[in-house]
Amino acid sequence: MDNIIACNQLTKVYKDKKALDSIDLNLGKNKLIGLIGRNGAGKTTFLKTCAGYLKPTSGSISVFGDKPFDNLDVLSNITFIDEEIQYDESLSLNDILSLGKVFYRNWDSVFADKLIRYFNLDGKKKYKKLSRGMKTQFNIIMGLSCRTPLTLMDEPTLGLDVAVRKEFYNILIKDYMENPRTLIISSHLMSELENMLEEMVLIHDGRIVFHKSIEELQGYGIILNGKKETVQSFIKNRNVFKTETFGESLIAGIENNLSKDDLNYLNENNVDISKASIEDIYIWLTNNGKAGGFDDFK
Amino acid sequence: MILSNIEMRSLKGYILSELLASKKIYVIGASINIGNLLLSTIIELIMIPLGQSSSNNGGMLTVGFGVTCITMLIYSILLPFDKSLKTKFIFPINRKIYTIGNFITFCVNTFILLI
Repeated sequence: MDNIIACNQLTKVYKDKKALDSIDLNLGKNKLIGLIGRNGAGKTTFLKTCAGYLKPTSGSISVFGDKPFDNLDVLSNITFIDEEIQYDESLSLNDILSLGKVFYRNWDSVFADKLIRYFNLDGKKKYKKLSRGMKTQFNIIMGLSCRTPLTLMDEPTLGLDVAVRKEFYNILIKDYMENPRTLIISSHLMSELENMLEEMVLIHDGRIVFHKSIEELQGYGIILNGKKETVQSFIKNRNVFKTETFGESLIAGIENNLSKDDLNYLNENNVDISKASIEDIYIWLTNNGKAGGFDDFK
Repeated sequence: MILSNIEMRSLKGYILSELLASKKIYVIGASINIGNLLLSTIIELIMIPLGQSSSNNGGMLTVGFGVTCITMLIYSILLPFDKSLKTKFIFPINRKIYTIGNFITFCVNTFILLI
């Protein structure tokens, strides 16, 4: 079984909103995957459905070859961490860690203790006494120490400062190399995640826009900058993500499928070509038809 | 076997988490008991000069029954709070374990509070 998660026409409808719309997606084993999308795109709903918290309205989802909802065989192999997670407020951190040991077969106490000490958390302190950032740190510690084959993290670094976020990414990547498993992380901070991920899934309005490897994405889009007429005529029949006019020049973001002739033509006409970042592509593909940006928005 | 290994692990964890979270309730229960003990002692001290010992008419049993009712009531009110319910499913449990676990912890907690 190479796919850990397999979705077939997965749909989740809340009262009046389709949060997930006929999703077909397969996610492989031992991969570090980024789930990106704008607010309300359906990321959290997707992760919660994978984690067995939500039941699909229609279509199917299988995790480890089985339906996750209310299925303990599946749930015992999944960890889900998000900002809403609240451990029992009356428990101390040591109490919660001891529960992790009971609940999870592969719980790594040594690693958990090391992380607790590293982040200067006091194990005797009650969970309710922690600040928001400390709660986030503790949730991450729990998520990593479970050592479940599938770890889902929804905006795991929310509320953490830059230094701690970097520490977290370093620990995450090192731990992932030592203990390979499937990690799915949703985040808005694309630039921070980009270098550590293997695959990326873009979800928009409940639909999957793309599921590609990072290598593919890094060469997916290009930015052309040149004379308005030249660029305009060149991009006429191409997949254009974004255009922006600056006086006599036009900047256009397009899909990178240029031939040698195209490159020669652009060079001859003094059109600058640069690689689009994944963040650019993400913004372009989720702009809801506002290709010209705010300036061209009527 | 009624419960698989995974279910047993989950049930064990759930009961432990409930008992750890019930520490506060034990304190409330103990406080009520101490309060009742003091109250019944005061009543007893008042009754003796009047020549009516409550131990003669099963007064202590009545007090004990009262304590049980109060503690069970408190426990059953505290248990299904929405806020506390949200914390239950962080760890891997399903509805079956939740039901069995709640029944066991309810019995255990009531027993502990009775003691």
